[in-house]
Amino acid sequence: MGKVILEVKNICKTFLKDTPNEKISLDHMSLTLEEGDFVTIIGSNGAGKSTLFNAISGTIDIDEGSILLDGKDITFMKDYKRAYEISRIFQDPMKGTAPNMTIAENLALAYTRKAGKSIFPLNRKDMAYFYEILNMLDMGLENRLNTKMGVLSGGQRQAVSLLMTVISEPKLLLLDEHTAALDPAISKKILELTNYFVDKYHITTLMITHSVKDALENGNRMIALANGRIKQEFSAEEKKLLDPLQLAGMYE
Amino acid sequence: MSLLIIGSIQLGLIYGLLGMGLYVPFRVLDISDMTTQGSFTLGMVVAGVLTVAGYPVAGLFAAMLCGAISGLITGVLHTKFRISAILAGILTMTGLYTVNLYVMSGKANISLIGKSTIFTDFYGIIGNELISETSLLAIIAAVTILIVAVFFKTRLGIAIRATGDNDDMVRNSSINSDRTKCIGLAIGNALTALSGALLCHYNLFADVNSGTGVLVVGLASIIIGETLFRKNGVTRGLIITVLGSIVYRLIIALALKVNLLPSFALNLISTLIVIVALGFPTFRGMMNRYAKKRRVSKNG
Repeated sequence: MGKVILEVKNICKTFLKDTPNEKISLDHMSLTLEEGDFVTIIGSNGAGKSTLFNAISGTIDIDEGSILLDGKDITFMKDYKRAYEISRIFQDPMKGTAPNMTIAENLALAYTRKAGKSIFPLNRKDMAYFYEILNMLDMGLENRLNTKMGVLSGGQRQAVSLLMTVISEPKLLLLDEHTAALDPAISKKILELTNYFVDKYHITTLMITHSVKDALENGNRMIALANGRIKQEFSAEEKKLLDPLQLAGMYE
Repeated sequence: MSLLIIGSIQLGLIYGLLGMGLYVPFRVLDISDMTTQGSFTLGMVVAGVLTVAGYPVAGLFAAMLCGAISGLITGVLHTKFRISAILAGILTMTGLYTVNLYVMSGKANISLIGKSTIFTDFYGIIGNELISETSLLAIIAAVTILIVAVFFKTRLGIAIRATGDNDDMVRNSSINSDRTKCIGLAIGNALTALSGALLCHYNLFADVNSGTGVLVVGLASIIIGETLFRKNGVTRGLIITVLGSIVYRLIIALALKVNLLPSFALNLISTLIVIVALGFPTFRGMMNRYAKKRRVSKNG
C-alpha cells in the first residue's frame, strides 16, 4: 500500500440549510487517494462533483468532516494556502490564465511558489526552463513566450494551464472537466498531455468528466457520485469489464 | 505664450503623478478607487505642514507614506470587510477630510510663502527659476516612472498585475490576492499623495478643499494618453499617462487663454473630456453601423 496523499473523511455540505431550497451537496462522503492514484469521477449534474472539488481546494467551507493532505489537516486552511500543494484546472480555459499577460509571465506566476528566490521572475534561467517545458507541448508555443495569453486558442490555453500546474509540482491535481469546452481533436490532445505529465511527474490526480468513455480510458480508479455520496467505485480491473453504454445511461 | 506652455508642462508633470496614482488601481488592478480625493489632499497638507516646520524634502516622503496608509485602509475595507471598492474608497476619502483638517490644526488652509521649499532649494543650485522648476519636476516624474515600472516587473509586481487580470488564477497560484490588492492600492495612493505634495510646494499653499475633482483630472490624463498614443504594457501606460496629463493641461490653458470659458469651468471641462473620450468608441461604432445599413439598403 502506497503513501496516502488525500484523505477526505465523512464530509458534509448543505446549501441553503433550513429553507425550502435546501440542497444536500455532500452527504458524509469519504475518499482516500494514494500517491500516484489517478481517479476519474463521473456523476450527473448536482451529484456533488464540483462541490467536492471546492471543498478540497477550500473555496467553500464544509459543515462536517475533515480533509487531510499528506497527513496534514487542511480543513480550515485558506484556499490560497492550500493552492501551494493543490492545483486545479477548470472547464473554462479563460479561468486558468491571465489574458493580458504574456505566456512567460503566466508561467512565471505559477512558478513563483516553487521558484528560487530571485527578484525578477523573467530571468534567463527560468525562461530557459519555460522554453524547455513549452517544447514538450509540441504546439510551437516555445517561440511565443512573449505573446499575450489572450490571443491563444482555448486548447492552447488549457495546455499552458496544464504546464502551469506541472511546474508548480503539486501533491494533488484537480481536473474539473478540463477538456469539456474543447473540440474533440484538441480535447484528445489535452487528455494525452494530461496522462503524459501525470505519469511523468507521478502526480496524484482527481478528474471530473461527463464523458464516460474518458472516465473509463483514463486513470487507475473510477468513482461514480450520486446525491452527494459515492455510489459505486471501480478498480482498474473492474473498469475494463464495464459496459460504457450501460454506465452512460446511469450517469451521463 | 512660451510661459503658458512651460506652465502647462510643469502642472502636467505634477498632475501626471496623480494620473499614475490612478493608473495603478484603475488600469493595473481594475479597481475603481475613490480614495484619491482624500489622499491627494492628505499629501498636500502633510507636505505643507512639514515644509512650514522646515522639512520640505522629508515632507514629500511623509506625504507618500500617509498616502500609502490611506490606500491600505481602503484595501482592508474592500478585501477584509468585503465592502465594494467604490464605497470603501468613498468611506476613506470622507474620513480623510477630518484627518486633513486635524493635520492643519483645524485650519482650512496654510501658506508656504517665504518658506524654503524643494523648488527654492533647487533654484539655489541652477539659478534660473523656469529651468530649475521644470527640470526638478521632470526628474521626479522620470525617477518615479522608472521605480514603478521596474517594480511591476518583479515577482510581487507581476502578481499585482495578474490580480487585476484574473483574481482566481492568482489565488490558485498560492498568492494571497487580498494582499496584492492592498499593496497596489497603497502604491497608487502614495503616488497620488506625492502629486498633492508637489502641488503644495508649487502653489505655496495647502487647502483642505483642493482634492475636489482631482479624480476626474487623473482619469482624463489616462484616457487622453491612451487615445493619443498606443497603449501596451504598464511601463508604456505610465509614460503615456504623464504625457496625457501634459496635453490635458495645454488644452485647459488654451481654453482659458482664449477666454472660451471662465476659470471656474475647469471641472466641467475635465468631465466633458472624460465623457467624450469614454463614449467615443461606442459613438464611432454606431456611425459605422449606420453607414453600413445605408449602403446595404441602397444596393438592395
